[in-house]
Amino acid sequence: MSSSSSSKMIELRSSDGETFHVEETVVLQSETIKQMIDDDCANAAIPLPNVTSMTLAKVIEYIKKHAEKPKDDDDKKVAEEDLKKFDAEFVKVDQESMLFDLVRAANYLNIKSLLDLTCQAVADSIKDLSVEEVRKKFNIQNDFTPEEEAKVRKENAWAFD
Amino acid sequence: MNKRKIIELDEGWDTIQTGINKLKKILDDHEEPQFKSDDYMRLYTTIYNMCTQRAPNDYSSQLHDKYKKAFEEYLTSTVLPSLSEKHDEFLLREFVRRWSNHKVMVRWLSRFFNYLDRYYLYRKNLSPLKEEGLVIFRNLVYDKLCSKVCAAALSLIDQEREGKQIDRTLLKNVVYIFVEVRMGGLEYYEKGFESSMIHETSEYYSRKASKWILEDSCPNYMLKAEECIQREHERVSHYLHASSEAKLIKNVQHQLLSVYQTQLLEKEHSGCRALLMDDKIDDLSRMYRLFSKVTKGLDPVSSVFMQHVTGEGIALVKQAEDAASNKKAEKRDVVGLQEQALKEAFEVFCNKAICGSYSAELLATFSDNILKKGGSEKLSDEAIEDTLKKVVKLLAYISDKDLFVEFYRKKLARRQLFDKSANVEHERSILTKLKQQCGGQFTSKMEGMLTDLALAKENQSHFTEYLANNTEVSPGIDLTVSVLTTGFWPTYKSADLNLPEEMVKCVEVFKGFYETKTKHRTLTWIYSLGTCNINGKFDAKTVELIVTTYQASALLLFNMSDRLSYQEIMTQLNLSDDDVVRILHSLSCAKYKILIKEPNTKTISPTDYFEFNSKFTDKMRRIKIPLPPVDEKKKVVEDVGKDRKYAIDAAIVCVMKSRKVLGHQQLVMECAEQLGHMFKPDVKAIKKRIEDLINREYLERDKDNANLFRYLA
Repeated sequence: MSSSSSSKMIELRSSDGETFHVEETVVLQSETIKQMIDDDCANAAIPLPNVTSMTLAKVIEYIKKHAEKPKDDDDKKVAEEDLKKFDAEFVKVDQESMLFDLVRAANYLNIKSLLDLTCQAVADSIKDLSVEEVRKKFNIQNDFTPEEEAKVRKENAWAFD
Repeated sequence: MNKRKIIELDEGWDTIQTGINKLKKILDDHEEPQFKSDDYMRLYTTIYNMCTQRAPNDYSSQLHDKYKKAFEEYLTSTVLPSLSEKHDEFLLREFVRRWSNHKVMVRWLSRFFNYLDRYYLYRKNLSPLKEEGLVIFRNLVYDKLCSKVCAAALSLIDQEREGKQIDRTLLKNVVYIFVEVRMGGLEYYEKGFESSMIHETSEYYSRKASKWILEDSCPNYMLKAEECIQREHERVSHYLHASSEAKLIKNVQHQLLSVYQTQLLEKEHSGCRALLMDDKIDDLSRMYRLFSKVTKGLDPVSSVFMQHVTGEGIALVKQAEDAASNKKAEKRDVVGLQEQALKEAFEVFCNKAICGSYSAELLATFSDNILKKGGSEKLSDEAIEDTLKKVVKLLAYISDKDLFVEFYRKKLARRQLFDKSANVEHERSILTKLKQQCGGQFTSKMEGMLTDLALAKENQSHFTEYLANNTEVSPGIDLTVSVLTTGFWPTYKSADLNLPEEMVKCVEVFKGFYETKTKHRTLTWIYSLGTCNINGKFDAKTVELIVTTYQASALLLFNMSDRLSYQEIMTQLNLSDDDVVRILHSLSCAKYKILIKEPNTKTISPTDYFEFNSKFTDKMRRIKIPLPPVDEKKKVVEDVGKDRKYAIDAAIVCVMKSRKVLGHQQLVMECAEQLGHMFKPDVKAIKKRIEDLINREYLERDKDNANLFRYLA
């Protein structure tokens, strides 16, 4: 790390070539980028070939919000409430594919709280779905033989009530 | 859904290998540019992607193997060969460099392969990348080279011990590798380095010690030993692990001090005894410092010291016997000795009754010499204070404190009654010191004595006043009386003397006066302590004789008759043979011959005759005819013995009163403890007192167990 000033900016470049400038303190929430900064490898733009500009913008919105520091204790309570609301709104995305993109980006960038939040949202979305519906949603081919499937269903009968 | 292009193993590995090659270049050659953010992300992303592809394209396990192989390949192909061709200090430098490089390599690779850490290794319960990377070095490099490295490091230490300048930082780094390779815990350091280091150290100092003990004097040997030990302490702080300090020092101490201790202490011209003889305080302090750190190291020192002090002490006391007047000087030596004394050793000497002289008595005599007139004029007040302080300190080592008190009280009485005390301030000062050390009970009588005397002086002035006011009762001669409280003072023989008429009158007059002051007090006259100034009307001139009341009474007999037989004198004075012999000897056989003895021999016999020597004269107008004091030692010791009986009785009763039932052994123990501050009671004496108390029905033996006593009350 060459500078400790809080206003130091880190440059991120999305897979489609768009660059984003984010304060170092904010971007430290990504463990992946934090390690690069620790190793003094973050002086030039950091290419993120796995993240599109659309997803990256969302991720930056999230980490910026989560980097806000409440001023005092009263403020802290308000801020906590506020953050909860923000998180709830954040995962209400129009397209489901966007949610999956966020999961992958969170995993790639290693942002634990975002990964937890988005995974939970995915889990909530399949909560009441049948096996067939889940297969369809995740684009999963049924690779069980009918015998195998019958056996699994019998062993896990409790889950299908 | 998966828009990413599948990366095949070979293709991905090529990318990674490029990165690893760059890393190796960075390690070996500082020209190579560092990793940039796109290098970094390319490697991270490639591995991330290869690990997150769906089976069968999830290459986590293969990448893990490659990760390990990358180290193994580099270590075997580059690191080991470069280390194996180096020796000694060069080996150490290379070893330090390679280890530090390896840590860099582990750091980078564990970053690039980070995704393995997060899921694959975690789920498989395998050790994290960093740890794995370090273990590979340990297995491939450390295990092969550690003994060689250790030997090289020890040889550096050896060079430093021999006085060469060495690169301490290098050594510190090497030693630290032994700690680091374990990643917590010191097993590798202890096994791989410390044990050999301690072994080498032992051998080194064993060689040194065996040489020095032959070549060097005891003080030089100790100087060297102390310096070596100091150096080893520094060594630890410069480049060894702190945990080694105690072990290392213990070994050095063993080799330098314990092994040759006897030989060292008994070196003929410079050993412990010689140092004591020559008062080599510095060397002795060094000896104490060194051996106090060795288990049981002081035992032999203190035994030599004890022998020395005992020997010196006996010699001193022997001299003291030969010349009693020199006691002062010798005792002062003893006081000096005490300052360096080890308590135990000193006690043995202090409490040995040597040739019939008790230390308690000598100490009392010594204080007497300091406190009496003419004893210490040459000393300043501070010096006297200091000496008194030492006396009191010395007393702590004497177990017969009661004996000391008794002797001291006798001496104090003499000083006070015969006006021989040099300075009452000093008298009070030593009492205060004694009180502080031994308690108020110890000094109450002596304090009473000093108070008594102050009162007596007052009383005397009242008496003078009384005589002036009542001219009809004149005693005829000047009379000074000191009225004292019986309990405070030593016991003296009271009146069995037939007083001369003149003095009888005095006594009557004083009684008359005293009754005006108080009615119910009995006066007991102690003639044996009286002093008289009488005029001897000799042919040549009148000489004033200062004599005791006893001597005066004897002389006054010759106012009535010129010639008297021993028997006549004895009957008229009504004194014992002992006293009469003493008195007559002082008057007829000593320096001043006031009486002429027939026959003219040096000893008094019951058949002798005495005559007033009217021819006597002296160039002085006033002379003092001393009456040698009776040797009181026996009496004092007897008195103390008696007092002890009562003290033991009291202690037994006191213990039994609180315990009711107690075993013999314990009773004896508790008694001894109670009495310890005054004297060390003899177990036999306690037994005897118990028997006596049983006879007097204070105690009884248990009917079933003869060793058990019951308190009867």
